[in-house]
Amino acid sequence: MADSPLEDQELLRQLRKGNETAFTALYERYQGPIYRFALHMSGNTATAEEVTQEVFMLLIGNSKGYQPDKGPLGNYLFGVARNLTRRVVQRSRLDLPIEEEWLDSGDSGFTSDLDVLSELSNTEMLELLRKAVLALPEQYREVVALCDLEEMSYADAAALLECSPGTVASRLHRARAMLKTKLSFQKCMK
Amino acid sequence: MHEIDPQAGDLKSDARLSEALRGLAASSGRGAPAELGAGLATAFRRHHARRRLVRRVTIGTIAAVLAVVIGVMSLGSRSAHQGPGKEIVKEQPVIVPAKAPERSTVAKVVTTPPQSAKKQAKRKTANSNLAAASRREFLALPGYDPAIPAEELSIVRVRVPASALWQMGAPVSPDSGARKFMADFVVSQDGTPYAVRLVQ
Repeated sequence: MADSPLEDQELLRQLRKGNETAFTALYERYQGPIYRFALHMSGNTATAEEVTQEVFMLLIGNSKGYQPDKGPLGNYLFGVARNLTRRVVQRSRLDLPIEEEWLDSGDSGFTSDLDVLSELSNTEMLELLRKAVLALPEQYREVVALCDLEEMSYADAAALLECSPGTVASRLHRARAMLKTKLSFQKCMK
Repeated sequence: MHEIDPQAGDLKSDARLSEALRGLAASSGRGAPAELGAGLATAFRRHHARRRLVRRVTIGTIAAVLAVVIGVMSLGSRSAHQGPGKEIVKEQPVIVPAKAPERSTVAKVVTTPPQSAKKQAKRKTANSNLAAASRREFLALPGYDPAIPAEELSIVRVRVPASALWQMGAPVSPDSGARKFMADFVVSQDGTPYAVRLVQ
């Protein structure tokens, strides 16, 4: 993400002038990551589409809202997507995180065994994992979506989430532990 | 007995989790549906078409306002330059043909009163009346001869009865009876009236 900020600036300048090719280039560059981020955060394709549309409508209507001195365009777009997703998820009451206290108490019993993944079919495994990611608290779900699923660097994720890279790493470690706990727990339930 | 190394188990499960997450990322699809992109491109075109229209209208409005302002300013400065000249033109008697009047009704000439401060004030008022009256049009009398040079004509202000003015074709009511009106006559050097206009 944001491999070529200078090119992004030029495309944005052309976009402001009404150059549709520039808009298409920016859209092709960022729509995938933004759509997937919104999808992983909400678990809902309709929400992901709505968020993607809103992000790019904002870019069309108010491209001056982005200030280059505050970071790359990609981070700005992800920031907008993050806020929109949070708003939509809150509105639709889809946010059902695992209780952290429960995870703390049950952590040691499940983390060492993920054989369940090899025992399941690929489809079942993905569905299980998707549910587990969606069940994470928002701040952990964000780092998993950005760093694990979108392969964003810790530094970029930190800039986007307005925290330090160390915090991102810490949250990611904890999020993975929660995922393992969740998956092991589901194995026991089977 | 085979002992399980907890750290090795952790690494193993981490690797499995990473692999599973990669699988999840790969299964999430490439991005938003194509219809969304097409819709956004349409929205982009509409937005910029509207923006261009608004810009054109704004520029046109500003240009029109500027043109009006410049026009008004240039007219104002021109009228300031030409103001006295216009007055001179207005002072010239305008001869307009009138309907059959009778020539025998020229009344007495108003004589100039003796000089005094009071009368000078009255004179000023009369002069202003004359200036106002000079802006009205003269009605030509039957004896009017266009061949007579303007230098030989002069304007005489007299008070004449309404009936006489009506007979000359002036715009007064015949019912005014003996009431007298102040009028300006254009007369030649021999005293022949050629045109008349009402002052009051």
